[in-house]
Amino acid sequence: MLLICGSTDDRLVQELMSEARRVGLPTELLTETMLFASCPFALRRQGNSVHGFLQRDGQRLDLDALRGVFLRLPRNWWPSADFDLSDRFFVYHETLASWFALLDSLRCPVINRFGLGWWLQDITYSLGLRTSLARALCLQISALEEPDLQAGWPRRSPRAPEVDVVSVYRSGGVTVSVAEAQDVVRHLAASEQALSQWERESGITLSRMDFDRRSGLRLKWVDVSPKVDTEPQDLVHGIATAAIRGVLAGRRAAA
Amino acid sequence: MILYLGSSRDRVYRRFVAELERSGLPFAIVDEDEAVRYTIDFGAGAWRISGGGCEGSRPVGSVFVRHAVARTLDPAVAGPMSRLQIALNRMLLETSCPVVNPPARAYSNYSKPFQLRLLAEAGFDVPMTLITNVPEEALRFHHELQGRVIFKGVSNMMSFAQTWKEEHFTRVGLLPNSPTQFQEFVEGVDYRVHVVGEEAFVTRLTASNEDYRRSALADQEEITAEPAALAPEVIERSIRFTQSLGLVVGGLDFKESATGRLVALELNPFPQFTFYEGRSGQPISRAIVDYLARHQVEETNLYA
Repeated sequence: MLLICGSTDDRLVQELMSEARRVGLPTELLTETMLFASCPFALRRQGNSVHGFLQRDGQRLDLDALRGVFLRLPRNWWPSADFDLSDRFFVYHETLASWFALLDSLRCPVINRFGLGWWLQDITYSLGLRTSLARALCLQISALEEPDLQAGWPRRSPRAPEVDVVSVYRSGGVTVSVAEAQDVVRHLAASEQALSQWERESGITLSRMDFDRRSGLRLKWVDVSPKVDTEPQDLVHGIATAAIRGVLAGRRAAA
Repeated sequence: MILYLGSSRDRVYRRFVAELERSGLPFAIVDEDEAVRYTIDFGAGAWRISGGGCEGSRPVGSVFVRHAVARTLDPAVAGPMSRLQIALNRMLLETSCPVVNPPARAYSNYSKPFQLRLLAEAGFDVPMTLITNVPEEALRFHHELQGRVIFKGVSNMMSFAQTWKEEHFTRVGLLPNSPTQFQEFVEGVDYRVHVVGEEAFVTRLTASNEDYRRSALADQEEITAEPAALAPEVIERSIRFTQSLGLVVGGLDFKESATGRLVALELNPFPQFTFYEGRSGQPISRAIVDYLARHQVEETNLYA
């Protein structure tokens, strides 16, 4: 069973479901609200032993039966207005902390295994990832158009439209790109070992990397929840295919 | 110079500032409750904090952080504080100074069951634990442990551990509203181990409640806190565990049963150490100031 947590409006979710169907992998789609507000679960720990289940339509799904999980959560869930404000805060954090622990405990691939900074929408999480990725790729960080950190978390963005910026996707351990990004693809191939290690350590195996090539290649940004709405269909298909292949191969992105 | 980022309303503040004064070392403070007074700039490879007693020109050798907690949702107060903390956290991500503790490395106790996994993997004995929003699972856990169960929050939102008593059965039906953490109740003595670099301070606590913080904070009862000792391997493991999280300071909570079983409950990355040293007399603030003094860097990219 492949669990996809996201929205059917998301083109990548549509493509993942389609590709999973094609290879005969049963899927279950949970929206963010379903996941956080109405999905019964249990997680037990005794020493280093852990087990648990999710419940869907009255059926128990053992956590060990999951082949993979895709997290494409918009992160705008908020508990019911039936609670007063302080209770909503409490329920929000209790729910997130629980699901983080449950997903962390899974032995199957979780794409992506975001750190707690992502769950808490801490902008320094993205900055830290960019710094560590630049180091892994032996690249400098581009000073081009910094995200507006004061305005809050950089939301999922479409592929960078700037002329001097080129973007590629990483999915399931491979680089998926458009034709004009061959210089970036070559650089990533030459850094494959370091890049794979970064993916293992960060838990990020699905991302869009933006590069500035105005004066040599520089890393501009790494988007760990990339929006693909405006991408060509073959590119989205390539990302989904690589991701499903990665799941089937049991690629674990755990740190 | 040592830089202190925190809140003048925090209980740690007064004692810690007194310790900085006692040390005779130069220090500067960013009081996040007065957020509008400060500006943070980055240019020519250096971060500069100005305003509120910071001049933007004195080199900072080490940083101590205990971020303020917004005590109101009023955007006029919470907004500037949040913006200041975002800017400070970004600065801390890139500063060449040692930071005690780096906020970006201090998340693990946001999810207590996640931290329990880390503690178990580090070799600590941890209590049997269930996280669920299913009433039947909670009841089964209670039955299996013959009623010796406590429940507490899953996240780091303030909550007290409580033993599951008869009157709580009626509340089990509310579980689908919010998942809860249930644990086997290990009855015994509480210990707090404060790690500061390679040092550790063990404090034994005695209180009438199962959660000694409830006695002190909610019930206004006095608790006893006294210096104590734990096995050297426990201390060593506590120090290494704290370091493995990327932290310098940590407050680890343990419970020791009458049979000598010692279980680790959690690690607090921003412990309120003055609560303990005020009762036990252990020089924890001094140890932290000494650490900050010893580890100052000469070449810095931070000025205040």
